[in-house]
Amino acid sequence: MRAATLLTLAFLLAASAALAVHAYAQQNPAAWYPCTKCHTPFFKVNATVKVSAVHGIDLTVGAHRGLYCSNCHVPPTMIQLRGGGRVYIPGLHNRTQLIEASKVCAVCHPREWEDWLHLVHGNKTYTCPGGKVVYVIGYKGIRYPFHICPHGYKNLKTIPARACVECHNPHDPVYKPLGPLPRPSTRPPPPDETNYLLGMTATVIAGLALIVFGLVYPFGRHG
Amino acid sequence: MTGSPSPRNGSNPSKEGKVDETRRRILKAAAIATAASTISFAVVDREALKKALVPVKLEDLLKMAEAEGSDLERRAAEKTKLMKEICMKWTRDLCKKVGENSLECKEAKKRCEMIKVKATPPKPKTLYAMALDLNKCIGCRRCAYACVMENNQARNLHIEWIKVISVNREEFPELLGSDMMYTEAPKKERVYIPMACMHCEQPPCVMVCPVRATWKEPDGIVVIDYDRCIGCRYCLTACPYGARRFNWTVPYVPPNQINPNMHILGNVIRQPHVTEKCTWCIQRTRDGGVPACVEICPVGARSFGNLLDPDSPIRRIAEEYGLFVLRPAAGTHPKFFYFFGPSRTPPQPKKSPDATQGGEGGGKA
Repeated sequence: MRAATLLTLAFLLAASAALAVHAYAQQNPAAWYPCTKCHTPFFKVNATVKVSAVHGIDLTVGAHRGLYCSNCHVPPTMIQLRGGGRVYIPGLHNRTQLIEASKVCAVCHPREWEDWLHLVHGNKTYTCPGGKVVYVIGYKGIRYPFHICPHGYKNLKTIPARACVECHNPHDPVYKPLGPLPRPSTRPPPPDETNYLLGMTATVIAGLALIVFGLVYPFGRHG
Repeated sequence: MTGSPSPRNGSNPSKEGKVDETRRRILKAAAIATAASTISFAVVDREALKKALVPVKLEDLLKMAEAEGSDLERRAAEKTKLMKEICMKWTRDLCKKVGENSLECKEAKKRCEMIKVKATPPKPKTLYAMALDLNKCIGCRRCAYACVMENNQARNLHIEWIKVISVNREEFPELLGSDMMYTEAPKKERVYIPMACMHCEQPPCVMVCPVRATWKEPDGIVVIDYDRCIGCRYCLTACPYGARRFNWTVPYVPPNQINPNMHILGNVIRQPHVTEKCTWCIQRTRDGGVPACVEICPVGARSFGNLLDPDSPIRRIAEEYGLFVLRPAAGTHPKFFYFFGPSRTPPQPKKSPDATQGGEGGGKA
């Protein structure tokens, strides 16, 4: 009886651990990287599916609903992508590699890809030799990236700031809009009207004095 | 004429004596003044005089004539010193308040050291333009506040060059019912229009300036010379887009947030009683960078480029999507364009299997 309970407990523990690992793996695509760990050339995969429970991907919802795995990934290894790219994962690989992976997007979205190449689509930034970006909490408590260029702000170069997959999750590419920042401030009113009182009084007194000493006094003296 | 007596002399000869007396008094006073000044000139030390009157040195004149760079560059060098002084003054006050060893104080000192006012001239064969995708803009106001940070706008005066207005999508080109104080965005039925200086081809603000303190540069940027501005505010009234702001008092920028990358016609710390407005981040763009609003935009709605370059983003947008401007009836031919880019596909509620029909990607799978 006791042994049975222990066994059940051990089994439950193992099961929960496996579930946790599975959940983690679903959260973190890098856990399965590289794809060829499991997808060997000899292992036949059914790539014409829309739901992959192992990877936590459901292509029946989202903006890419209706696609199959094989629309973008080349079976059987799945690491090669249509359009000549290869799977790279944001956070694990650098930007040049991610841009290489973005070629698959250009297959169906040539217009956006061309826009991106022309610095129309997506974020832009600039770089300077030896420069870095520091974040400062500034106006209204909002983070602002300051560029620090040690050799002066010369010879700046405008480049795209991100690759496609850094903003758009390729399996659910809709970009969630951010909320608005606080309202614009109302300008403080122009200086108070009473500030002019002194000047106005002085002007009136000076004007009267001018009239008296410039016009009335000479006439009075001669007449 | 000498022989005939004048009618005035003839009419009141009794006043003649009096006039002569006055003349004598004046002569006496003049003689005394001359004597006093002669004596004082002789008595006053010549060395003291030399101190009071700064003589012009020939060497200085020659140095000035031989100095390299334009007049603006020389002024920029002077401005660098002035900006550092202002920054150090503010830093001292800040350090007194928060303590010498605090992070803010150290940051402020670092920034004061880094301040450099540039006078980068316009590049040849350049005509800058900006375009904004109204389909993408979510009205988040990040551009407005990044602009404040980048351009050292007065925090005490709450100057914000960019204003984001929201108008009803159905009555879009009409801006009368616009709302600036919205708190929830984005909404489907609203269009968000960030507005700043439009850098017009025929700027009315330039036409009305009585002292020529503002002008249009060859690369299309309308700039203000803050040293020449007299604060008459004609330009504020003339601008059809309400793009200009006025410094009513002495502006204050926290020294630990000062942007050390300055341009003399752009984001130097302003004097009181001068006008200011967007310069397309002249300190960045003239050296090849992008304006701060373009960089910060989280959805990439803005693009900036050279209109004369066939590969520039603006040309791409003009050919692919077409451009329009706000208030074309004003006749100012703005260089700030708006366009409706490729439409987004927002997540749609699941209604029926036919919901996707007719939309994008309907026949693609």
